Amino acid sequence: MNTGTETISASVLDSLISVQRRERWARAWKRFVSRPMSVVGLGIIIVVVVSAILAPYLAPYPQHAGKFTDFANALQGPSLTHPLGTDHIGRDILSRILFGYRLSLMMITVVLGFGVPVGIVLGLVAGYYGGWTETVIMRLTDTALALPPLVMALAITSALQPTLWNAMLAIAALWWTWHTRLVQSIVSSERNEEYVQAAELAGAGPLHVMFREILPNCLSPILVKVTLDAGFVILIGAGLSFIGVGVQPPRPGLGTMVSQGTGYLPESWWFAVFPGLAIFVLVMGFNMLGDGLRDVFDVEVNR
Amino acid sequence: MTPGVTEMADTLLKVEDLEKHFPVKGGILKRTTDYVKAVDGVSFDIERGETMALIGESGSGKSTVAKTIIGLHKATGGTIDFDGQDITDPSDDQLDWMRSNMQMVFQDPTSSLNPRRTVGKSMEVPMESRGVPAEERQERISELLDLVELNNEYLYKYPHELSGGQKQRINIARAISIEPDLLLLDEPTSALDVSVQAKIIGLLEELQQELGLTYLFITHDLSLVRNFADETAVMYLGQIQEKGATQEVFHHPRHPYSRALLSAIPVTTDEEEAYKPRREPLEGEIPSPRDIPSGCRFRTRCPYATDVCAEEEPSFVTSEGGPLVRCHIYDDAHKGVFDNVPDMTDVADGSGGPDAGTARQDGGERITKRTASDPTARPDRGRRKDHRDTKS
Amino acid sequence: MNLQEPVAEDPLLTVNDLHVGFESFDGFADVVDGVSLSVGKGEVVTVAGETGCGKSVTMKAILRLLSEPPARIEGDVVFDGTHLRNLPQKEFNRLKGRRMSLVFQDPMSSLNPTFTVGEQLVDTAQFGGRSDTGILEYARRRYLGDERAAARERALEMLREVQMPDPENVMDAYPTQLSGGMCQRVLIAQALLNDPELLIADEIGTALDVTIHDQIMDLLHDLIDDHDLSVLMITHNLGVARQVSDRIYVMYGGRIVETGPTQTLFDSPKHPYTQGLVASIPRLTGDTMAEGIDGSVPEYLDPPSGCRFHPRCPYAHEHCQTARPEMISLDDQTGVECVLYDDRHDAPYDQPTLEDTRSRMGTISGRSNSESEDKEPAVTGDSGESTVVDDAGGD
Repeated sequence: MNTGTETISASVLDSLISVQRRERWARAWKRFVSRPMSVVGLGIIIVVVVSAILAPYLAPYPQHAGKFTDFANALQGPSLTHPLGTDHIGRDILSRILFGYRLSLMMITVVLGFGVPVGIVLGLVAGYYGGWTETVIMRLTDTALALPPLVMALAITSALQPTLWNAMLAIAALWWTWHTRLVQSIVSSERNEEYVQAAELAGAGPLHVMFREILPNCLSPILVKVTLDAGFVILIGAGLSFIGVGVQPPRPGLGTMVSQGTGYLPESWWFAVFPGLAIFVLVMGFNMLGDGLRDVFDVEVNR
Repeated sequence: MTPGVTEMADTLLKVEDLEKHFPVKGGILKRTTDYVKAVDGVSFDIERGETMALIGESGSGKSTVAKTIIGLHKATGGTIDFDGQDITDPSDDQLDWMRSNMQMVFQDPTSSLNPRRTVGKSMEVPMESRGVPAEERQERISELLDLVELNNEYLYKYPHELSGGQKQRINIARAISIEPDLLLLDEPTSALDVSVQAKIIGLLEELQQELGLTYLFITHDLSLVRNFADETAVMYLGQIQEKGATQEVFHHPRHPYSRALLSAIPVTTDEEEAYKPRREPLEGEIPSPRDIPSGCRFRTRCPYATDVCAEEEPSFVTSEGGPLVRCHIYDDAHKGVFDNVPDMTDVADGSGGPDAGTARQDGGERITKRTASDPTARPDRGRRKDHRDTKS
Repeated sequence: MNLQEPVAEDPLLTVNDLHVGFESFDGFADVVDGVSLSVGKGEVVTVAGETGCGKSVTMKAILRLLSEPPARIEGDVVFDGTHLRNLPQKEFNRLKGRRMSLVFQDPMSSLNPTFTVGEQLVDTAQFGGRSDTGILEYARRRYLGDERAAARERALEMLREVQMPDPENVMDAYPTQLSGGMCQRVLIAQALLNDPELLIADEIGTALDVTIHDQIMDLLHDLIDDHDLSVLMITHNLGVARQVSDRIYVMYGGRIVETGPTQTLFDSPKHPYTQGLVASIPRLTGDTMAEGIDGSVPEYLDPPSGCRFHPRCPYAHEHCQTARPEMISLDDQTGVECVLYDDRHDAPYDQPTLEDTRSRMGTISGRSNSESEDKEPAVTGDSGESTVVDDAGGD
């Protein structure tokens, strides 16, 4: 009895598929939106990213982001002309913060852009092959994990030049370890699932199994972790800048600004507080977004 | 690598004395202290186009047999011959060849599909791995969906959007996509409801007709294979206890375990009640495969066990009427020791089918109908009189 | 023809017009849609149905195990005269602990793996039905006085009663060390410790092997008699239902479609769904087995209008889509929810027998029965009369 099997025409099929896809996204969105925090987080990130990209147009004094001096206007409190005040050289803090966001986002991109893929690949290989491969990779990871990132960054930048680039490389060089751990633990348990066995029985090779079968099942935790990582990267970057090995003046690194500003507390409090708040808001944004994403993914998996 | 000179041998799969022992490691140095003898000497063959049913409860090793045949486990003893080739310890080339010619459908329809990929993509994997070009794959998938009675829209669904029966159809479609000769089905309907189960069995039958498939059907549900399998083998603790033509095994189960199994099945009609062997509820639990009883491994639960059962392992002998049985009762050497067993070896032409109430024409001891006066019979509640009358 | 719902004589538990729905991101799922059932004193009643029919939800609603959003529950549940739904939580817990008992599915995972069997049983014996015990009271009872020893004796006694081999050692064992059958016995012992009047059993034996399951069914039989229990059993296995029950309710799509004494239900099922189900059960004797019921279970987010079975029913006609059929009572214990049995209504079909429905379904006659070598067609199609069979995709 072949009931309900008439081949659906291509056009009907296409519209069915797009309807399905739309519905899936709509459902996920509804779930995401049900937690107001997540929306706030998403909002913050969007605002930050947009302002960072459009900084040259949004900033009231774009030229203040670089080499600029105006000692006459130094350490002015928040006013109509300078909503967040000016720093010790007379530069507009608001504008510098906007450009500072650019640097922060760049840090995130470099560190995570290098660390995450490397971590994923190592984790996949370790979890899939097991045995000696796994042991070697994981012990290597353990060793790397034992090295504190800040100290490493300090060491590297003092050996090489104390530039932002070097600082980022130093952090990136250690960031993969967490992702390797995360991915390896997921992979080694998924490895024995029946769908993987079915794929192997079907003749799929290791590359297919690792990247097309198992990896999609790791993506949600990875995505959540990346979002939360972003916040951490910013904090570490700010920390490095604060002690002088990150963003070098006159570039508007947020941490650098805080560092400079602490010398002028408490009278010119705006100099340290506003860049500090900027860091805070960005990190909070990422955390809230990460939590929201985790909720969306959890429910989906448990369906 | 294709088979050698003898093309199209009648026997597609031949398993002899297959063993799979899993080492148990213990102690600080992780030495092997013990073995789990999941499969402990299994032999059978399946002819091309046939269906063989492998029945057993947990610990019987039936799933392990399938996984060993298909290469997911490596056999620790015995041989496996497929289409004339020895695949007991397959080389990489042989593995490739095997994967094109035999496939497996797993028990849980959900866990055998990648939850993060659409079902269509999962279905493509066997063909993709063989380098079949994309267009051809699409065509073939449409055909396959047709064969399993689903339509194209299913391609783009995720497993969690499908019902159990639909998922299992997808699994079957995937398995046959590369046109294997042998299909191993590991409890394919156990996770499904009765009405869906029936459809899947129907589908499997049709496919076997159309595509000339050979099946090894593993299940614990005896009634399922009654109509479906040509041969039935009953496994217990890693060994086959009885094996023969399905009809014969069901009509006249010989091994005490087969009888117990058949008599324990909950049925829904009076005819089936009458058809079942006399109730002999088994005592005790199934022993662990780590700790197999000496002699006959079934003796700890067998109502007829005597001394010889503990001392000697019974061999697999042909009983009168065909089926092979692993039990001393049927062994001429020991038959005399058993004096209170129903005369199971006396086989007449039983007809125990739809004619309800007709006594099964074998041996005097066989009770024709389970009655309330039989101390071993358990009257089904629903058939008792108004229960309130029986209360004092 | 009677429109009164069949109700047990001398009912212990009565459920009246229960409605359970769930609010979800995708809308409102209208699951249990007007279920009424009753369990009489000393009766064994089974609610039978396949996956997704709403039987588990019904049970959870009775036991107040659903959190009320997202669930929305309406209807009455009466236990020996007491309305359960608006009872304050403490009183309900007391009543539930002392007079009702529940045995869950999957014995291996229903016991806490971090406590020994003995501890769990003795805790139940001592504190069952007294969950409002304060901390001090709890400490006193647990560690002081010989209440605990007495409770331990009771637990041991119960283990012996459920025919547990070596009960002393089992008391000190952890659940992971026990087999499925033994865990099931522990669960049953636990359920009977406080001498309940009503036992609710959810899919007992589904996770067990056939021979072990057989033993457990035997045990249950004896225990029900010895303790004069009333039992509400939930299962999808009709064979099991037949073995243990006095009366059966068949559920489909969140509604009860048929009910009757066990014997009658199996000898002559009335509702086309029940008939389809019974026809699809594989037969030990090798008789023809029907090829299952076309279509799939309804989506509760958008259930079929009128009769929820009509998309899959071989006898569906226009009326079936418009109004929900009422429960027609054929005698005081038998009822069907199908318009074909409604005298006031003119249906294009006669009241179908099991054979009628069987012949309308595809059948699998298989080859093991025939002696001949010819391959017979494995499937005989139906006569093509199913006009209204609407398929969501071949199940």
